[in-house]
Amino acid sequence: SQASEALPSFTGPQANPYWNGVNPFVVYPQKLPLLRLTDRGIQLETPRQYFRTAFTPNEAFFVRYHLDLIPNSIDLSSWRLNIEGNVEKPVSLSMQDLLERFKPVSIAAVNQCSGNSRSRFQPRVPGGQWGNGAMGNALWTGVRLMDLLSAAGVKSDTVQLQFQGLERGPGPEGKGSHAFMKSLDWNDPVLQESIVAYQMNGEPLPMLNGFPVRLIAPGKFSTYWMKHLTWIRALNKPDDNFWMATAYRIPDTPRGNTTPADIAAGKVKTIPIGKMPVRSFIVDPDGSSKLIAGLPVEIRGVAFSGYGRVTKVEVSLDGGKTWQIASLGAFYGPYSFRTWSFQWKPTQPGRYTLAVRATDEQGNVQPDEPVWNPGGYLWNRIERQDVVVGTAS
Amino acid sequence: QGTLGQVLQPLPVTNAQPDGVYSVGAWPQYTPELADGPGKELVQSYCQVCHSSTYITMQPPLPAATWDAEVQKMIKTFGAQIPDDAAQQITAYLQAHYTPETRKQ
Ligand code: HEC
Repeated sequence: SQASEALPSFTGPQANPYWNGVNPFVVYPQKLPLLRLTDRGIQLETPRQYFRTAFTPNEAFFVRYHLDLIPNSIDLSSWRLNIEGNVEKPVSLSMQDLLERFKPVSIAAVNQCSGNSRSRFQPRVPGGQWGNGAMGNALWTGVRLMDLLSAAGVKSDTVQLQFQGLERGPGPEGKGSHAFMKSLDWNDPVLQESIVAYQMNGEPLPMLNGFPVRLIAPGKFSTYWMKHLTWIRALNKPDDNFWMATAYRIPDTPRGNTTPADIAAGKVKTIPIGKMPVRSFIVDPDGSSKLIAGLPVEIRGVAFSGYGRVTKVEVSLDGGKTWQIASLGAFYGPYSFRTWSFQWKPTQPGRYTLAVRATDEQGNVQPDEPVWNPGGYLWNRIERQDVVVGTAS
Repeated sequence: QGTLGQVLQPLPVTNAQPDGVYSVGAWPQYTPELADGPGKELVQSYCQVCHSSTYITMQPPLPAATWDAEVQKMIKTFGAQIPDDAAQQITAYLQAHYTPETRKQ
């Protein structure tokens, strides 16, 4: 059921108590109504209900740009993917080249914003005030990054690969407000699994999700999944552009956790953000309607980890004191959402706090402690859902 | 302003040519009103050069010092061209309307 009065227009200074952010629904080309964070720099959050399935519909997939100058029209007769920089032979590939000269491959992978759930932070931090909906899972189809790179021949003294798309801003050249670029280390194993995708869930990419092609870096946060990918540059020294040197950095501490005091004291060493820690979400029940004592209900949601497949999902009916094993849905690959479900027959009327936690194949378990860092990154605390069970007579 | 709350049905691309151009409609804007008060016009002219003022209203209530740091970040890190005097008035405006003590809307 829905709120009969409008929710407040903001949350804070406490943590946002809602599953999604409290923003208005808006309509954009190729999209269903989504929750607007910002409109110039477009940032749109996916509502909770779209996470009932392992694959998130393209029309509902979240959108996160940093800068305002993005294309709404692309001419494939002139668009080219350029592989340049520290390479033997720079190449310029058309969409037709990508479709005809390279073998297509597919991978199911979760795309999650580094700042997903930032509105949970205490104290609150500036940035996109996402609830849990800055994530989505899709079946991505395209060309292996390594196949493209062999066509250009990356030189042996390369240290990083830089990715740039058509996202630009009106700020001065040389500043982060002018262009968005991200780099991955040349020896990062993710490059072997990365693809340049021209298809998302079997369709061309929506414009707002990176048409005509975007980078898929399985297991990594979305910041590396460059949209409208147009330049891949081999670098022989590390990228020092704003989006690598200053933004998207996490404390070099367990879980990326630190305190405002340590930040103020200037004691915290940082590193670029990388893989996504294990997470799980309760999608249903959402607490907006009462449950009926004696009537079974399916508690269900999704789980994933950037460190490999989810091996276990546990559900608690008592706010995290005791845990029971949930059943896992189909396995679509180690980087995909995995749906989970748990049959519950509440026998006693009352108030219950449901909770869920996932474990991945490396043995990482979701913690019950919050995380704090100034970027608002890496939230993966155990999720809870309050529900009310009414009597049946 | 975009058509808030009105669902646009998928429009058949009957007018499109079978060429290499792939287009969608213009990006709509959904920018909420800023709080009224001295400095509002300065925010509208200087802070909307690179992004909409929705970046301000989207934030949770932030402490006064954080707003000061945000304005300095826009100038020093992102290269916003704002004279000192205007920057001070913008900071004062943000502190008067968007801190835990002052935020109303
Ligand atoms: C020269 C360009 C430019 C100007 C002018 C500018 N900003 Fe920004 N601003 C940015 C960029 C780039 C970001 C980061 C956007 C993102 O990551 O989504 C940003 C982000 C923000 C954020 C989000 C928090 C953060 O730190 O990322 C706030 C709040 C903000 N700006 C406020 C302002 C205010 C207030 C002004 C006027 C004093 C202003 N901006 C002027 C470029 C600019």
